[in-house]
Parts: sequence; structure tokens; C-alpha cells
Amino acid sequence: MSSREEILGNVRASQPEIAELPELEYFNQNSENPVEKFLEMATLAGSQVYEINDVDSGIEQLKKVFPEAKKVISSTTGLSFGDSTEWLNSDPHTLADVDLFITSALLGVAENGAIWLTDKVLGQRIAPTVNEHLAVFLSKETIVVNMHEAYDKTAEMDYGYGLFLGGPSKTADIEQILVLGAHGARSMHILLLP
Amino acid sequence: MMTHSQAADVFNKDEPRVDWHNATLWNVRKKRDKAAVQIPEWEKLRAIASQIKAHSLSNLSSYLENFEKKASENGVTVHWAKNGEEHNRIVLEIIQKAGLNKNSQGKIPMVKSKSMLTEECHLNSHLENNYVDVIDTDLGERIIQLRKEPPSHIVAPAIHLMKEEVGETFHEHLGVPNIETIPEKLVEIARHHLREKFLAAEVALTGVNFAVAETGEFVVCTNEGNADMGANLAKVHIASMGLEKIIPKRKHLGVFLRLLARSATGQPLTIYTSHFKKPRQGQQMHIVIVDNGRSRQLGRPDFRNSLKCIRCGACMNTCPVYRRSGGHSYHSTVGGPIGSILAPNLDMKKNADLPFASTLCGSCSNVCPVKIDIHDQLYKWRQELVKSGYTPKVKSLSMQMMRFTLSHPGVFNFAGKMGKGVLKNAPFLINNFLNPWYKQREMPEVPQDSFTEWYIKNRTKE
Amino acid sequence: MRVALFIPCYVNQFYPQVAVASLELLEKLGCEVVYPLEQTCCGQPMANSGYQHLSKDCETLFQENFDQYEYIVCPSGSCTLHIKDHVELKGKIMELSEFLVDVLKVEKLNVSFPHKVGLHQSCHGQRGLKISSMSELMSPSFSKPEHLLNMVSGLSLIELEKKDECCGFGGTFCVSEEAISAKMGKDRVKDHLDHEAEFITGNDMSCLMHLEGILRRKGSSVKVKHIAEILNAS
Repeated sequence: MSSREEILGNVRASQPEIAELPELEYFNQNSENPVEKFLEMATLAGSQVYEINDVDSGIEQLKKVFPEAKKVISSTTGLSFGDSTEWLNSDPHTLADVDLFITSALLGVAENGAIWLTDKVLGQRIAPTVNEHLAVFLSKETIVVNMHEAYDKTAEMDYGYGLFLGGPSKTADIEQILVLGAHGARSMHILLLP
Repeated sequence: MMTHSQAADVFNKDEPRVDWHNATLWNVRKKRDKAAVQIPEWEKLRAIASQIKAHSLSNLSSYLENFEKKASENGVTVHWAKNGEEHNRIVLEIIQKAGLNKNSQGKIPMVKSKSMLTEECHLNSHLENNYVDVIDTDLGERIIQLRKEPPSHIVAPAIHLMKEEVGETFHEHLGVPNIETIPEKLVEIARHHLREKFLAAEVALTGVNFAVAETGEFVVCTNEGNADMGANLAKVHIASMGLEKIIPKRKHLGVFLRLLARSATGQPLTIYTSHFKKPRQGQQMHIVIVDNGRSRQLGRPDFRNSLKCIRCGACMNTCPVYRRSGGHSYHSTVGGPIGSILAPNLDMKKNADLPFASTLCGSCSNVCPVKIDIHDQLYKWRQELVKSGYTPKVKSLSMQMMRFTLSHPGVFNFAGKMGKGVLKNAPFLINNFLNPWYKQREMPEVPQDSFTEWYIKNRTKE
Repeated sequence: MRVALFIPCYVNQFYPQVAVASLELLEKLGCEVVYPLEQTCCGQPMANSGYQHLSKDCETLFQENFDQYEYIVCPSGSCTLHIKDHVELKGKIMELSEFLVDVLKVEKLNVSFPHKVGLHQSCHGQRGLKISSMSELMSPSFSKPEHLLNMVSGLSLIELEKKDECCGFGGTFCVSEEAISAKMGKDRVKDHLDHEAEFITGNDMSCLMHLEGILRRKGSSVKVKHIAEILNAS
């Protein structure tokens, strides 16, 4: 008998009578203004959030924050900053020297300030993690109250890799003291579009 | 090997350090409270999470099969391992068959993100003996890997160490000229050191926090981004998962993710909550599903609920014993209250002391996000261990005597008259320094009359 | 109301004044109190050590002594919980303070205890019998013992840093894990002393015995008093 058969047989013999699966709720009534909550939670997690009127003013903002960025790439087409596409098909290791990666999130979550990204919008899976800094466009209307709504809204999305990203990379492994910039992006800039 | 109480005794020789350890972990508990109180439906969420897990365990075989089917359709190879040994063999085979490049020492470079399962299986030493250069990339795990220590906490593996000790470790192993003590600087050193390892790795291994039967995807949670750095760069991604990690549907992730990070660290969500569904182009993705005693635990009605655990570590942070004895005192990969109900299933004899390393205060069960009845299971393991003969004979004898006295009112009252003889052997009455009670505590003063004697004198007519 | 009084074995032998206070308090509040003389122990010391099978005789004896009463009152949360979980009774066993609040519905006590008092929440009463809300749970806060202590004139309850951490007694844990048990006790005592308690009270004499042992070893003037003694003060 293969290990698979043996394990499944043991599990089948051991599992108790079927227990009922509970109904899920959204718990999204009477919640605070989701955009305000998102701003609060994202800031708390160490992200920089800018409310902007259009993509161009977002780019201006980024140029102000990163005047010396040498290697800038973007998976959002048509930007006047980091507008190249060669990187999309290159070896992911070659992205290790990226100073700034610009992308667009599909969704924001108010209760935790996280954004949802998939390999389809990222171009390369490693892109949001291997760079030094990360900038993300996010439309206010895509902000949902909580994770229950977030999974509902992303249920039909096709992805091989999906990521709720809650802010810049961090660690508290040394004496529980919080430090930003562990392995991934040192800073995360969220550009909130109306 | 020292028992829990022996190890705790050693740990308590340095009281300021115990106070520091206690305070550090209590801070995490306080952060958890602060996060949980902001969720009005917190208690309801715990109940739902517990029910989803109960359902998943009751239908586990079907969900496992379904998960395998979906994952295979997604292009992921699924393997099954009965125990740690088979798991390690499978992982090595995957690595050896993938035609990977070796480094200058002739070893295949591999990065690992935090996986308690691989600790449980002792994977690292097996791979290292077979020309694989394994680097743990979670900062805490890397620190203890350099120090050749086991993790002391499932979420924060190096929580037992002070920053000065981390500085010494980096000085000794990473060639840092001075002994750095500023956490920001230590993290920066680690970032550069591990970035090299990520970029050089041919294969990446991650754990699995949740596996979704409906879609075949699995979720890995980190704050550092080390799972994503590893898996999204390497040619081969291996994910090791215990078979209890299965949940039925993708939407159930919402429930568990709202609870997990808040319970673990007080964050509303882990920074990287990554969903791996299909390998990227040109990459191999493997999942190794491990039993290693889990199906046996599933078959124990009193203890199967322990398989609901989502490894948040909240029970450790709240446990007044864990906070004062340190994670290593549990001599098991998973320490603290949850470890003490998991470990006897793996080895009853070796871990017979662990269910007794608790006052049964019940704080663990109250913080558990999936409502595992941890302290009740500790009590039940005690019964099980005594019945199976894993407790000292002397103890059994004194218990027999206690039973005789306490179940015979005549003997009880007579013994009481004879200088409180009934409890003469009670630990808090023997006045010498060999008695553990008396080491740090005075004994109660013995009164003239017992209450029964008083009652007969004052309340009965004759 | 007729109630039966169950006195834990170690209270009977070492802290008879706590039993007397419990009896007098119940009598003052209008109860007819019966004390079955053949009682011994609930059996918990054996059960918590893994010898539940040896506690059967104790439990049978308990049943014989108490089965005929509608209410059995016990000045210990821990023993009450053990009986509740292990002995089938026609009537109901209740810890003293929950009986006073829930059944007698006491709203007023004409007693005075002009001191700063720290309340030690014993785990089995609190987390087992739920006589107080628990810091881990996100639910409305309440405390039956606090409710009663607030009726005592002159008494001021101190705030604690950790309002419901275990004292470390834990039955045989107090000797089998001596280092941790003593350290937990020392830390609990410190919390009370830091907040200037003159007395430490609680619903379980076992925890208080442990804390008392540490206080006396320190040479502290702070005393322990069971809640029944305070509620029965003059």
C-alpha cells in the first residue's frame, strides 16, 4: 500500500462523525468609513498613504519622494516613471537592484490596511518583494471593510500567486522590537485615487 | 534530558532574566488583547473558526483528496509522508532529481522559511548530511540556527535571546567586527546576509498555514517576506504541510486570517499573506502532506481538538508557566500549553512530564483563537499517562494512601486529631529544606481545633 | 432557606476560621445551615494529579453526604468546580460568593473593613465557574466577589497590573514544579504589594495559603483573608 493510501485510510478510520459547517457572516454592518479606516490602519502598519486626484499627480509625488531612484520599474502601463517592459520577461534575480517598483492593487482592506495583488497585475511574482521601495496605486472605491468582503470580491479572480500585502516588510524577532525592512520592501507608498 | 521542572529550576536561577522573559511575552499578550478588543465579533469569530476546524477534521479524508486533485490540476506535485523520516526522504529526492546547481562547496543552496513541521521532522540535519546547504531565513530562526539551538517559541523562535546575545552571534558567525546591540542595525546586517542567500538559492522550502480544499491553493503568512523572497526566486518550491492544515473553502480564510495575526502578535494581519496556487513559468512546485502521528491524534476523541491549532502562539504568551520557564524547558518542538497536549501523542514516555507543567489555570483555552480546550486536555493527558504507567511509583502509592484517608470519614477525623495527620504528608507541612514547599514559602500555622471539632462543640446539642 | 455547607479538607484542618465565617455569614443572611459531619474531600487532589480513578470513593462519599440538599455551598471555587464536573447531584453546588449574589441576591451587608484590599482571582472560580469576567475574553466585565466586597464599608479595592494571573499554587504543582510555583507566587504578591494592599483576599484558601507562605517568608505585614472572613466582619 502506498503512503497516500495508508494515510488516507488512517484518517478515514479516525475522523469523527461529520460536524456541521457553520454559516459565514460578513460582519460589515455599522462599520466606520472604510476609506478613513484604511488610511488609519495602513499608516499604523508603516505604509505612507497619499490621497491624490489622478495618476499624474501620484507620479509627481513619487518623484518628490524618490528624486535619486536609479532603477524604477512599473507593472502599470503608461506611466511617465519607470516605463519599460523588458523586465517582465527577465530572470527574477535581475530585479534585485530595483530601487522602486510601481504597481496597482486590485483591492484594499480597511480593517488592516492591506492591499491585494496578484501575479497578473505584478508582472513578476518577486517584483513587490525584492525591490528596495514599493509604490501602489489604489482606487478608493475598491476598499472593502474586512477580510470576509475581501475574499468575496476576489473569489472570481484568476491567479497563480496572490498576496495580501499589509505594509513594508518587518520583523520583531529581536527582543520584540519592531524594525521595518527585514527582507522585502523597506517602505510602501500607497497612492489613493478617488 | 532534563524534565520540565528540572529545566525550569535551572532557568529560574537567574531571576532578573526570568522577569525579563516574562515581561517580553506578557507584552505580546497585551498587544493581542488590544487588537482583539477592536473586533466586536471577536468571540463569535472564535466560535466560527472552531466549528470550521471541527467540520474540516470530521471530513478530512475527502478534503485531503479534493485538495490533492485541485493542486495537481494547478500543476503542483503532491507527495504523502507517513512520518518525519519519509518527509525528509521525499524532500531530498525532489532536490536531487531537479538537476540543480551546486555552490562552491559542492552543496545545493536552499532557503527555508519558518516551518515548525520541518523542525518536528528534523529536516535540516538530514539535508545537511546530504550535501544541501540549508539556510533558515526567518530572522529569529536564522539566529538560532547559527547558535545551534532549537526554537523556543513557534512564532518568535529567538524570543529567549537578548539583543546583546544576537550581536555576539553575528559577530562570531557573520564576521561583524564589533558586537552590535541596536536592533535596527542587527536587522540591516541580517538583511544583507540573507539577501545573498536568497539570490543564490536553487530551492526554497516553506511551511503552510492553510491549505484550501476547494481551490488547491495554500497560504503562507510571514511578516518579513522571507517565504515570498525564497519561493518566488528559486527554481523549486517545496511546501511542507501537516495534514490538519486543510480548510474547506477559500472564503474560510477570512475567518482564520482575522484571528491569526491578532492572536499571535496583535497585528491586524501578517504583512505577507501569500496565496500560492500554481507554479510560475519554469518553476517546480511541490507539496508534501505529512501525517507523523496526526491521524492517530485524530482518532483520540479527547485530544483530536488539538489538531485545530493554527500555531499563533497566544497560549504560550499568556501561560504564566511558559513565561517563567522558557520555551526550551518543554524539550519539544512546540512548547507551552499547546505543545504539552501535542507532544504526548508523539512520544508518551519522553513527554510524560509536560501535561503536569501547568496549574490548569485555563488562560490558554481562553486566548485560543480556535477554542481548543487546552487545559481540559492537559487534565485528560494526566489521566492517560497515569493509566499507561508513565508516572513515578512513589506518587501512585501516596495517592493510594490519600484515597484511603479521604474516603473514610472516621480515619479522616481521627487523623485530623492526631496532629493533622491526614495532611501530615501534605507538602506544605514538612518543615525542612528538603521539602520543596518550604524552600521559598512558610507553612500554615496549625490551629487548635479543626472546623469539625469546633462545629461539634458549638453547633451540636449533645 | 436550608443549605448544606461543604468545607474543603484543608480548610477544615488548617483554616477553621474560614469555615466558621462562612457558616456565620450564611446564618446571618437567613439560611439554615447543615454541616454533614461525615464529609471529607472532593477528590480533586488525586484527580488533578492524574488519579481520577482513585477519587471515585471520595466522590461517592460526597454524594452520600450531600445528595439530599437543594443547595450545597462551598467557600472554594476550586472544590466546587471539581464536584460540579465529576459528581452527579440532585441539587446544586455553588461557590459561596456566587451563591450570595445569584441565589440570596445580597445587595447590602452591614459590615465594615476599613482597609486597602487586593482581590486575588482564583482560576477555578473565575475561569471554571465564571464568577468573574476574564481578561482574555472580549466580553462585558463583571465580578461577583468584587460586587460583594464593594458592599463592605471602608474597604477599598486596589487595582492590579495583572488582574487575573494564576498564583502558581496548582495543587501538587506547588511541589512538583517548585521553582515556577514559587516564582509565580512571588510575582502575584509583588503586584499586590506594589499597589499597597494591606490584605489579600480571594475565594480559595489554597491560593491564599500559598501567597501567605510567601508573604510570611518575606516577613511582610500584609495578611491574607478569605472573602468569607471579610464579608462576616463586624
